[in-house]
Amino acid sequence: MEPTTSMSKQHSPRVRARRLLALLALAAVLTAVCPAFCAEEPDTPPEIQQFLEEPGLSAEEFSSLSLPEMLAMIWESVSGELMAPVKLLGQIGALLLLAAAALTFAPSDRWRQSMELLVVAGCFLLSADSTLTLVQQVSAAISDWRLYLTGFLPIFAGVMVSCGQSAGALVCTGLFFSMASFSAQVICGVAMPLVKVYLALNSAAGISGVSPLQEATQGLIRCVRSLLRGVSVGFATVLSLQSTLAAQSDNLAMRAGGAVLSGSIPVVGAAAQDAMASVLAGLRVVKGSLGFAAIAVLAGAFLPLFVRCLVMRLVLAAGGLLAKALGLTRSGAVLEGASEGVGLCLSFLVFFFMLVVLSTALMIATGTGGFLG
Amino acid sequence: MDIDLVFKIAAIGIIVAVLNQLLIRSGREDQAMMTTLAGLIVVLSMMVKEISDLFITIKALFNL
Amino acid sequence: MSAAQIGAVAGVAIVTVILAVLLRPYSPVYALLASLAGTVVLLAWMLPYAAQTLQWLENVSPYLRQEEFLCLVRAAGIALIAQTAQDLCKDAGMTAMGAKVELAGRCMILLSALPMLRQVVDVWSRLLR
Repeated sequence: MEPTTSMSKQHSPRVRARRLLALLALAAVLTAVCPAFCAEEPDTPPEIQQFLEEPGLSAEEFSSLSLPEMLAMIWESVSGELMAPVKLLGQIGALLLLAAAALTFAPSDRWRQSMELLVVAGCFLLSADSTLTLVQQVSAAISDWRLYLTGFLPIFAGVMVSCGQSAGALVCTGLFFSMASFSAQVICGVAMPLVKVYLALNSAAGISGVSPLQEATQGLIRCVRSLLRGVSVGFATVLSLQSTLAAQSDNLAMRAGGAVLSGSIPVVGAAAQDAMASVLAGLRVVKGSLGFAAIAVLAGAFLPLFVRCLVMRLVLAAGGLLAKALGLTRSGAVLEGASEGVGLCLSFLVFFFMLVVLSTALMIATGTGGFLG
Repeated sequence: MDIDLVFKIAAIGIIVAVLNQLLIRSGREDQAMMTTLAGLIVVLSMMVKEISDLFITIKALFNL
Repeated sequence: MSAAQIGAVAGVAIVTVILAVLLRPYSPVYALLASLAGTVVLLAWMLPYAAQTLQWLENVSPYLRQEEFLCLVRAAGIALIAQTAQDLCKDAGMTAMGAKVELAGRCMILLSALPMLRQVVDVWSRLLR
């Protein structure tokens, strides 16, 4: 590293020296961090089907768990997801560092554009593999859950009617579930493909550097956001009509969780916060019963994907910030755009989880022999 | 290679320029032209090797 | 390279410029040649130090894909050579030639980026399928 320190002093016109100094700090961190993570290999994501067949957590186990044990279990399922994104962050950081160094060799600003094209393409390619896998996993997960919502629940409602549980069946076939399956279909059929188009368009805009394309990209993401907002507002309206479960929603812990949700997840955070009230109220009812096992299984299927999305979003956002700090605005824009796209995937996931858990909890709670009236 | 190269070229340039002026003043334009050409050839032959060395180094360095 | 050597670099540049300006009224060709010689001297002087930086970057490169590393370094080299030639052309008053050199440099950079762009298009097709 020493030669570079002196290099920065040698051809140090203006900004480049500052940039190189920033690089040095980054490089020190990278060289310390990278080897540890390069050895790790990302494990394959657990299949949801497997979760459903062999739930990692049964109701009896759950009721006997203490808090530290539960936290340890959650950490175990989550920590495996962290390695690959951190490695990706290392790679993106190294590429940006290299790019900034290469730009110091580029003799004038007129070469910047053609060289930044390389950097943008490189950043996109680096993040493309994991983003692509993530998007595919998310769309597979949400189409599974859509199947659950639109296929399984009506059948279950029929079974409940035939068993005399008509109150539960009414919930299953009522307004709530039509809204739930409608939202599921809108997200699966329209919003998810739009997110894929957005990701492609975002990189295209970054690589070409054409400003109308960038505006079109922004318009597209605004469109997806408003679609999602519309769906979640509709859902929240239905939810407020169906106020059977939201009995005790004024709770400090829930508030804190809600603040985290609406802060980190775009668009649906607030709706998810509202829904969480219902879910938690439902959970109080169904804890210890068989219903909790179902919800725990759902959460088990949801959590790894959720964490993967969240970490990916943070990694991409961090890469974007780093790129902007190093003066590579176009790569920064591409990385931040990809982070927005992953954030939308995250919103879909949260929304779907909310739908599924609410449906299940509502069904179970109203199905336990008039526990709630 | 050093700053000497620049000095050598500048010296040759000055000598050639002076010779050129002298020859033109004494009415020998053809010889003045020949002097300029000869100086140019000498300078170029000095520089060609350096330039090719430089380009070979750059090619090796940047994987061109 | 110690920081003091920036003084040496500046000295070489200034001496070259003075000599070139001195020669210009008598024979512009020699002025140009002197500035070319100065350029060559400075570049050849600095390249070993650039090589140290590149060496260090190559140590970081295992964390990258090799292709991108080579592409970027190559682009930097192309830009360096093309810009040098372009500046010399401009000094001689031939901006048209300089523009052509710049065009050629950009073409070369794009050409070296072509495999990467192909991969990008591949990713798009996978994304939109």
